Amino acid sequence: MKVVICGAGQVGFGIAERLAAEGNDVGIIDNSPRLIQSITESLDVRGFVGHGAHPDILAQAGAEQADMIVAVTLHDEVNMTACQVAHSLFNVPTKVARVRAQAYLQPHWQDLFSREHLPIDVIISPEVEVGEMILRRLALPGAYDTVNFADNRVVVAGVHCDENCPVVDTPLRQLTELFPDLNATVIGIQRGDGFFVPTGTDAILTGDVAYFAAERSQVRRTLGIFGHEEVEASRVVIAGGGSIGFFVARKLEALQRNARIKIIESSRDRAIAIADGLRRTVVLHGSALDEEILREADIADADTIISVTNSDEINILACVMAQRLGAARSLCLINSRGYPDLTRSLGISAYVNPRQITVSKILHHVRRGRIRGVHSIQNGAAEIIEAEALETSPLVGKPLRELTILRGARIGAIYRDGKVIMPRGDTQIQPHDRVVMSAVADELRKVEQMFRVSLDFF
Amino acid sequence: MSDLISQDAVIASLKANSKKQVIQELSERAAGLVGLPARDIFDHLLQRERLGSTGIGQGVAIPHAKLPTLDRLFGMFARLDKPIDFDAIDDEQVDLVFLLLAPEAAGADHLKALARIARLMREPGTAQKLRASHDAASIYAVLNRASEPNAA
Repeated sequence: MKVVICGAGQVGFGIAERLAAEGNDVGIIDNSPRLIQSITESLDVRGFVGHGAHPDILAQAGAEQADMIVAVTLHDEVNMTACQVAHSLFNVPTKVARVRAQAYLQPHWQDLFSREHLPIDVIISPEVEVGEMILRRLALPGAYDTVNFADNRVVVAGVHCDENCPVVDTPLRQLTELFPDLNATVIGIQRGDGFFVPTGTDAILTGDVAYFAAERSQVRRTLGIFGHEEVEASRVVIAGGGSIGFFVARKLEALQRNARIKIIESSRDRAIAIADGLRRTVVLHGSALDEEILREADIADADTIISVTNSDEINILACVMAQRLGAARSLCLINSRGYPDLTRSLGISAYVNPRQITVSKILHHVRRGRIRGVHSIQNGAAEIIEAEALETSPLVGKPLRELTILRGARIGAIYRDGKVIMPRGDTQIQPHDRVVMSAVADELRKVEQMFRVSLDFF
Repeated sequence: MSDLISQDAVIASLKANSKKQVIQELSERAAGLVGLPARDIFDHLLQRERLGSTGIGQGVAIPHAKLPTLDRLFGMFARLDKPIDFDAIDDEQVDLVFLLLAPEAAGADHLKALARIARLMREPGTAQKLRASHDAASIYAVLNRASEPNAA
């Protein structure tokens, strides 16, 4: 695929890195010669210094041949214009823009982003998406990673398996006999730095993160079977009152009536501004690394500390300090790539990585077939994919046990006519089934082939 | 094939650097011949390609789509100046492209037409003759002669 990316900042870099690693032809534009130099030195991409929405620069970067444009500069208006230019002048089929200002995204103005008006197919709004991810984590604190599929009817969750986890050391195919009420399919195992898709003879070991798929109503129960019975967080301390912290606090106020929320914000002006926008949240002015402030926020009684300042280092330290002072769990925002591995050894319960979220959103439109959702795990080691099976797709109409192409991939759930079906060996996929499955990176091509239609599909 | 394609829908030498550009060029020329917006045709063809490439192997592709506003089956042929990557089933580059557009309510006619085109393009010798022809008239003659029942 040929892709033009406007903006070589953190978001643009993350997307370029993944697309280039997969062998796509990437041209990237940025105003800053320094950013372009550094990205072309470290990645296999073509760099262009200039304005991301100007037709001549877009043309140089290959817009004429491009299958996709990803406009992720710091400026909403540049991003929107870049998409418009790519559409009107270069016929670029898929257009993605980062739009941060909520004013553009209000539901009653949703007609704005359509073919006839501003032709943008996918909006990326990292702050909102990170905020939503945090809310999902708070609702299912036992899970280490959570994603929704199939109109939110199927949940894929990653769960830490420690010594107390009753399902370790048992071959997966025996799990259903031992736990007849386990209505979930294990579709991936993260072990150390690696990730693999298990077969029936594999077992979960202590220290693994197991990814399972289950119907929404079964998730809590499944987490319980894995030894995680933590209840939804209600006493929350948020370090950092930026757009993510503010978004999370406001949503929590609305979603959870008994939530007790405190925000620690280092800028006095910002603290005053967000206090005005919140009703029940207590806003404290000070540093999240100040023990006194943390105590003032009743950190010892907190279910969860959420650290979402602009600095990874502050976030990590704040989580470590808060847990030492008695916070039960921590959730840490981490932008840079080296730190995620560090979080576990520091005792941080979970982290959120904006890069993972935006890259997943782009990959959704890179993968071929009728794709409904993509979630990238472990820096791209594997993906959870929801795809629609179509007439003439190779995986339609055969019992799953006969599908040899399924090696290295595993189906977690099937969504058919509003019902969630747990796959068994004799299950057959029908056209228009939505299939939620995992696959390691090397097998993604094969997964695409499974859903590929044959010539006579119109 | 004369019921499907007319000689003015034959392009003897099309310059394009990518799959997208081929589909765009063909959409624009088809638009003029069937009287529909090029962008409509382009969008439909690309959407179909996303579900699975119509590159059937050995350098041949048959991009196709149903268009709600079309009133008849419409075929178009192009020989590319140089082969391009088409994501084809055998990973070979493509230089012979037969475009097929069908009305929304085509019954089974569109499937029959598609099968006929696929059969013709796979006939031994046809592709070779098409590659050796350098003007629209001789390409058109190959397409029609080859599809006569006794030609094979």
